[in-house]
Amino acid sequence: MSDKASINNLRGPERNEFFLGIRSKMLIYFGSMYVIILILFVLSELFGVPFTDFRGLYSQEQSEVFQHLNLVADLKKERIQHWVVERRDDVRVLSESSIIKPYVAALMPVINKNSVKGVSENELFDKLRKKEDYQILTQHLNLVKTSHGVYDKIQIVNAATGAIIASTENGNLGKNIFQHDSLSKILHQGYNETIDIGKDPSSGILKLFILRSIDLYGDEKVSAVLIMHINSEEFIKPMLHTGGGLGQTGEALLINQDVKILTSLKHPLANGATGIPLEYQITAKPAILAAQGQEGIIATEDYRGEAVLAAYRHIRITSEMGWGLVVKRDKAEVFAPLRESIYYRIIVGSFCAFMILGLTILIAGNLSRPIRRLSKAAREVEGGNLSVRTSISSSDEVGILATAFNSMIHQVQNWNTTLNKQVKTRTSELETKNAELERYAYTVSHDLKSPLITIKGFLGMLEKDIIKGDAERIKKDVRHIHNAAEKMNRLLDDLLELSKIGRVVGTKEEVSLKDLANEALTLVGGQIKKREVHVEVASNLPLMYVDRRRLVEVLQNLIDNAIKHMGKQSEPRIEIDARQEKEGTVYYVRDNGEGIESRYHENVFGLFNKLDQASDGTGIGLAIVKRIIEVHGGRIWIESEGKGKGSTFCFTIAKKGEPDKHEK
Amino acid sequence: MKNNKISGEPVSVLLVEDNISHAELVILSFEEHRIANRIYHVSDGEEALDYLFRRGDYADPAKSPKPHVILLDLRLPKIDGLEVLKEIKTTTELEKIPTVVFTTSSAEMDVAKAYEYHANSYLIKPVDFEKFNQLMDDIGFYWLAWNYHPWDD
Repeated sequence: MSDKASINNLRGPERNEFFLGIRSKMLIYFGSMYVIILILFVLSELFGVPFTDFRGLYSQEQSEVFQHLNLVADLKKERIQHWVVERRDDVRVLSESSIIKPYVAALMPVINKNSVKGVSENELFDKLRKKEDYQILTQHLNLVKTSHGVYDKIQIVNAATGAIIASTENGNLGKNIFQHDSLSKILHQGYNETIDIGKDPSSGILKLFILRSIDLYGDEKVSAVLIMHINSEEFIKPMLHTGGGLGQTGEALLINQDVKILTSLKHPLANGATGIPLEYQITAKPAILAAQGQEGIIATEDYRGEAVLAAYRHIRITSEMGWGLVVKRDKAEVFAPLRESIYYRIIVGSFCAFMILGLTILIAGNLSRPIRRLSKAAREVEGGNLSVRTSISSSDEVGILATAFNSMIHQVQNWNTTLNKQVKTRTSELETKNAELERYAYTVSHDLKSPLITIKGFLGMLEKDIIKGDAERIKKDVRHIHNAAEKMNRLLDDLLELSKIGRVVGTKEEVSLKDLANEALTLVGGQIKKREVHVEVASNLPLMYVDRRRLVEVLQNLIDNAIKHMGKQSEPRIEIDARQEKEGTVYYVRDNGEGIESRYHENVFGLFNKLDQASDGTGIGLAIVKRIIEVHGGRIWIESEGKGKGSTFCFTIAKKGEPDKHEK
Repeated sequence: MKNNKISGEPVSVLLVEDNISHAELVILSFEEHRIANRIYHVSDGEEALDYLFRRGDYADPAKSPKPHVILLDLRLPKIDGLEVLKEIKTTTELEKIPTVVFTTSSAEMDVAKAYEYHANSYLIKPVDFEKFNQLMDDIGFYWLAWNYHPWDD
């Protein structure tokens, strides 16, 4: 019981645990390997490979967009600058041209005179309108406005009073715009030209004003100012937004030096309100940088707080004044295609992951199947079934293992079979030996008891016969006693002799059967002569590797036995020879005596067995012969066709080098 | 049924004994007690069967009558005592003869085999002469005087 428990302890984990282990391990290994590879692949594609020139799709895309933004910003900057220069040229040309200068000069004295008089504006303009010069001037102004198409309004202001003296629109005449910021720059700060974006005080429309002084008399004094209005929403904003290439979210915006927006914004502010031009001040970084006169690119947040890529430029308008230009696109839009491609990559990757997992399951199953089979076979072997073989025939390591396993089990099975056979043989040998020993003990006790009974019996008889005085009987009794004692002595001698054989087989040597036979014949020479037996020893006899003295004893006994059982044969013959058989050389002693019936063939070799009670000896001779032959690793048997047909005692001897049954 | 002792009919014993000395001891004992009229001695198994089947030298029923009891030793040359016993007890004409195994062997195997072959009794030769003598006396009285034979002579 305890043996079985300890075997179970050696068995280790149960079958199912083990196999789930191998497969799930492979799943985990391959799965995590794949996921790591996928992540590394996507990351490196996006963000570049360290220590290489490949910087990744993300930064590639970003730099491409920056390049584009730079291009667009440069184009727009150039365009705006160019346009502004054109407009300034327009104003400069107009202010110095003869189409307005002479007429204004002609009207100025009238205006000055009337204003000194304190004539009302209406009266004054009524007077002026009647003047031909004024009509021509107004016509010229209207002509310029319509021919350019850019200008919304053209006005001429009296530098002395700040009142509008001529305009493409009647309603403004006489209106004092002295407080106008740009105008005051010309009137009081010595500028001869200003450009500004501001609200038209009369209409409230956002406009680009270009003001220029008109030197009427060549005295370097400002007598009048030409003001040209351009609707900025109509002309500047389109400049910012045409040209495209900025996508859905792209925007270009213009700010002044105070970082206030100059045009309306494309997007509402973060709080949902609309940025009012000239009022809303941008706090986003590119706008501030541009307003400060810097140029460059930046990835940051815009006025909405949205992540953008932006290019910013400074547009110099006049020597003191410049605008900021910001061209930007939402990052969300810029990277949308990249995100999408990553999204698809993840979908494809996940699909691949499932495929790989499926394949892994298959592969793991495939790889573990032979191991599983091997393991199952090993369990069966463990359970004692040695006929198990695995049928794995692959040429890989598992195949080699399986082959080795098979041959190992084959070996074990062979050993097992051999051992079993050996155990069987040994057991039967032991059983035989045991039975023999039992018989031996029994025989000894029986045969030794017999003479004892005789002795005691006839001693009893002797006593009685002495009393009776029967001399004849006394003599007989004593003879019986004597014979019995003698027999007992012989039996004991024989037993001693028999027991010696096992121990006293001496050194073996190679001798010819012929020599042995001749030696034995010398020893029994007397009997041969007496019975006139013709003995024939074959001349060409093989060598045998034996204890010479013992083999002589065997032959002596066999010859002696043959002579004893010659019966009434008139021409007694004994033949000593050998023949070759499958099991080896068979030596034999043949006689033409009385023969032995087959049922006694085994019996004759028994201890103290005598077929013929009348014959001499204790019946131990053949028992000794058998014992000597056995000790020499051979066997002995009788061949006889029955009574009167003679008998042949055959025996074999182990060859040199073969194991014999020499017991120590 | 007859009591031989009373009727005075001759009683015969077949003694199967290879040891001549033993045979003589038995015969002497019987003679001394005047138990048996005739004792027929054979010294091996083959001879015993020859006698019983009246073969060869024993063909004459007058010279070799059917015994009233067989005293059988077990260790016999040629044919073993147990073989002889088996032969007797499997032969219709012989099976009724009381067969007493009389041997030196006290081996359990022999006792068991003998009874298996339907021996009528199993006696072990006593080493002590007094006991031997007594046993012979008892055998004589029991088997030849007291015992009834199942057949007519």
